[in-house]
Amino acid sequence: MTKKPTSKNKNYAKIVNSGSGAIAAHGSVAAGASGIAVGGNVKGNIVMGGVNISGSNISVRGDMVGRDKIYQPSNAIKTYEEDLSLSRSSKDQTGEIKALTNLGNAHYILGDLHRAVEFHEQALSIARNIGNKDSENIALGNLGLAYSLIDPHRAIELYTQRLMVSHKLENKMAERDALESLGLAYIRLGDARKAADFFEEALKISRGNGDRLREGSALGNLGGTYVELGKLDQAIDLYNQSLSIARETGDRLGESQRLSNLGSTYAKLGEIRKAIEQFEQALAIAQEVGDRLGESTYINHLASAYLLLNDIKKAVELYKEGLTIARDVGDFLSVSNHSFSLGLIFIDQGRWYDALHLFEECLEIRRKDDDLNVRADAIYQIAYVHHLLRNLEKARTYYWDAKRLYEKTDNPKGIAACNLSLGRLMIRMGFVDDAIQELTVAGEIYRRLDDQSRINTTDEMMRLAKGIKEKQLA
Amino acid sequence: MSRKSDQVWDELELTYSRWGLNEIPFSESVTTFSEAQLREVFTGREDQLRQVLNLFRGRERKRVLIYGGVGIGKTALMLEVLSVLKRKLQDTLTAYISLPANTDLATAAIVALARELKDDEWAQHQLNLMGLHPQTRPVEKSAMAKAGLGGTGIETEEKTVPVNKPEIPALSFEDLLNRALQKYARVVIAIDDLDKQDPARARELLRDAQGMLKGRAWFILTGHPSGLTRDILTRDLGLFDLALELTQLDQKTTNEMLINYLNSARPEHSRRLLDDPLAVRPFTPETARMLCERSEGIPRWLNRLGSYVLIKASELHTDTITPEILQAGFEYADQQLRGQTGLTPEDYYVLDLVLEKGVLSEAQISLADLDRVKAKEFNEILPILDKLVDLDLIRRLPSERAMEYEPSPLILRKLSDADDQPSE
Repeated sequence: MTKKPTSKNKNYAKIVNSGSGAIAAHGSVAAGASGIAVGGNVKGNIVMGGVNISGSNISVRGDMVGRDKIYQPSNAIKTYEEDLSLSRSSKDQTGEIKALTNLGNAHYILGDLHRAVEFHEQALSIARNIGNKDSENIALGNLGLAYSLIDPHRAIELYTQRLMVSHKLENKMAERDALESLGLAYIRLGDARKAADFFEEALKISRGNGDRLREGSALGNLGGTYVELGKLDQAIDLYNQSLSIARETGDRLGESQRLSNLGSTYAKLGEIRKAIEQFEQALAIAQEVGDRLGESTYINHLASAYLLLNDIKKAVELYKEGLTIARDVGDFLSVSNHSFSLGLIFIDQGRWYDALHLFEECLEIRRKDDDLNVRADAIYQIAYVHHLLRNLEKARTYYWDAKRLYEKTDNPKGIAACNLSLGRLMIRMGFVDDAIQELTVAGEIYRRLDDQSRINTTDEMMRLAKGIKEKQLA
Repeated sequence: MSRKSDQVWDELELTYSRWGLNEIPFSESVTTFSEAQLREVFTGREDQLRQVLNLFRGRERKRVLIYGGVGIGKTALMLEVLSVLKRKLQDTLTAYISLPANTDLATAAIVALARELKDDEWAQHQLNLMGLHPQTRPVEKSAMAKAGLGGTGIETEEKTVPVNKPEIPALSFEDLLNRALQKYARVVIAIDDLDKQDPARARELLRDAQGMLKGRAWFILTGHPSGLTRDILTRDLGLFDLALELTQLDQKTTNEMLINYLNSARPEHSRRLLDDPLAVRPFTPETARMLCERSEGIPRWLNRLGSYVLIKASELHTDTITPEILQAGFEYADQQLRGQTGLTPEDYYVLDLVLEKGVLSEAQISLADLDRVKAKEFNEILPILDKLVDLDLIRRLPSERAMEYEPSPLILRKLSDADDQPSE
């Protein structure tokens, strides 16, 4: 069954194909105490480990952060705006930078990346004007982070500038942060090899400083790059080292994250039972320390693992439990992930209306995110369910929407899936010429991707379309 | 000041009396008409009426779907059928409801039927517990001993009965229907405006109501114009015995409709026959024809334009609607339609986009176009497009190949590029 195009962004937990797919990498490349995960998970990046976004000593006021607390950025924004106004009227440029930074971070957490960029740009500009290198350093890190989801190449430029500024200042901590950020940005661009180089450098600095916490997080990140490179055994070794450090330093959150990373890697190796053991341990820690966001994430991983074991009942139970927790704590990203995964199961079970409602919930959340690829995934699934329900007009409109977004994000798999589905749909609606046009494009893309299974499906549909056309002409 | 107001009123009175009209007869919705008014203005659709009414000559209960574009006259036909049945079949109970938002069909059917069963206590309870105004106050009679002298010894005390909201509306409807069928041979439920729902939602509602629809009541529903959606409904779900498509009226019938509307506002003695050139007064035969042409055989457009043109003509104190006055009326209609209350800035952005594009298609729209209206998906602007269609600012083209919209003919296009060029 052509069920879905897979998004290039792997931060969202999803089942690629029930029975054969891997458990996704939500947080699998996540740094431990550094609090930085591989893009995508905007809220997760900020709140993890209680460390500031840039990894530097930015003073962030209010009720931020810590995974066990829910930050209320919208409430904080008012205070920061007052701070900004006060510092401007008193010509306090350092205060102005601080307020702008806080405003940028708050907007980042809210997912309004363009506003975040605006504030951080202003902070950077003032820092440069007054020649405050430390503030410049921090602003470069924050700006890079805000850009990482909009324009990874621009993010890399900014992180590189930060690396140079830190080096000049001989600020080893900031240098290490910049190296880690660069590693994460290259992961986002799909260049795991380059990412590994940066993480190795970051690891050296942490080891040199005797900073065990950051050493653990660097090992975790490095493990993530080895997962990306397909070197799963080495990844497991790195994760285990990282896990030992977390246990040694009493970093319970880091411990749970690494257990989860280990679980995901075992799942990739097909060792599902072992993966489940790790996820269960991670879940137990999350429950013990009251980490509700972690709890919701690990339940999602467990559900995906049970799905791979074909224990649908257990998977559905877990997804529902995860969904309840995620809704309860207002973790919208997890709500979106859980509802997406559960929706896919409901499709398989023929519970199409239930699936539709879940995907619609998922889309509502993803519309607030700047990641058009995952948004397109939700739209595609809505189209697919409408297609199954024979709401053909609805299906067509959603396929078009998904296709436009996949084109924008340059996702050939997504584009081809839309073309193929539109082809199938247009045959059903009686517009054979349109169908042939869509199938031709789908076929070309699948040939470029060398996806034999989908080439076969497309060819089969094309034969059908041409057969109908011949009959019409006869 | 008050004298001036009276003077204005008197001037209007004079204008309308010179036109031979008591009032402006046009209305955007036939649901505001009384049965008698509807009978006067209902025009054409004889074939469709014959097909529906013929079903009522049979014993077996039927389900009818009336479908067509916005303003084409679905509600009018539905109400006309009910009106005929009410007059001609004493043993038939008819009930009409416009489907409220977020309501399933069974609940809507309960409300419609309960409103007609005014003497049925249980029916009134149903309305009461839904927060709707019952025809009679729901009460329970309990016996209590009466103290004192000279009484009968027993009297009843009335108190409001707590009734739980029906958990399964379809079963509650069945109970209500059984009660109705004890008094009537036939029950006809007309549920209007199903076509105002999203087509996918409408299908879900129909699927959920299959049991009820296949039960012992007759049903008349309105549907979407898409033939495809209708085919699926009739073929896959087997829900409807008759699916009637309403299309645009021809010019002759539109002209007849105009005369019927005008006659409905004339004193009894001054009503005109269809072939009388004065029947279209204050229009001339030429401007009547122009009005009908511009209405494109869509009754609601005839009503909207007719109304705006008469208002403008009365402002200009004209005796006769000449082509110039008609044009002024069309311009006035354009201004009024664009200035309708409830339009948000987002609505105007989308309207501008449709006006600029000429035809806005789901397949052709670009992300840059969508960005202009602060959206990333065509689906996000669909509710706005529906709203603009409902307000007669744009219309949906009949293509089933893609969703396509263009400005409604009631809207005057922007000046063409040629008009914008500086003159030499």
